[in-house]
Amino acid sequence: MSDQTKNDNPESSELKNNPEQELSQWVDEHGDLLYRFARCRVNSHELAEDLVQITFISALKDWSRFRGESSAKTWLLSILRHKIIDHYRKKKPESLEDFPDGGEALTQAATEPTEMIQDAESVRLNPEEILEHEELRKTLRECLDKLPEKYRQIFVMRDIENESTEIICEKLGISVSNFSVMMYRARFQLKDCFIKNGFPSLN
Amino acid sequence: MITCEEASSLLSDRFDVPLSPMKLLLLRSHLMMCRKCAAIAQQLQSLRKIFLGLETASSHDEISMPVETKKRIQQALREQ
Repeated sequence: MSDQTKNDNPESSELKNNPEQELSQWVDEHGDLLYRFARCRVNSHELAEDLVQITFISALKDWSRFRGESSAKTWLLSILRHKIIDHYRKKKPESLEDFPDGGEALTQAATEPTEMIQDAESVRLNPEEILEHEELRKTLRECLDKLPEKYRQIFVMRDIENESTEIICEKLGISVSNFSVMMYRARFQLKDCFIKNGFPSLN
Repeated sequence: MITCEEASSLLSDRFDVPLSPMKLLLLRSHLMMCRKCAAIAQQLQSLRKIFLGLETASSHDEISMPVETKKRIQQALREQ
């Protein structure tokens, strides 16, 4: 909970003289939040940890640019966001071979939509009710982990953070048609995964 | 007429970009005739609503960064 409440430290002007000490304290206060943020966006915990570390080192180097106008949390998250995007930009485009099953299930799902909806009539998800359901997060994480990283990143930006299509394409340097194909595959695979995980029975 | 596959693709696209009147018409007429695609349309809509509500609730998540990792980062900060 500490990362929610201690956004601004009243002593920050004093501590600004000692950035290492201040950042070290922020590792304790905001580390979990940053880690969770990264963990939802990449498929390995090691990579998430590395991205958080890179974020803190960057924050130290750019310390003079932190003016205390935004909260520490907001500042760190904005650095992390950029580091994650850099990570994806450096990666080569992913292909169906990156899927654990070589894309077989996905190709099938994409070409035979009828396969996915055996329980279609019973899937009437009520957002408020499901948000409270602990299983949702677990299922989302499991299902996201099955997506190739590039799809996951785009999906999270669009359908969880509600970033605009235009901005996502610009940030990631991809075309709208490329985006469209990846979102389509990501959404259908996630939907299929949620249904397989028993979400139709929620109602 | 469009195929189920084409309809599925449009069902995803319509969340992200404005569809042309022609595409919308094709999609709507397909959904009127195909119960399966109509059900998929509803599922995608429901899931999108749920996912959009997740970011604000993310601070309730239970995962923590391992303590050793925090120590490692603090060590790295001191060594800079």
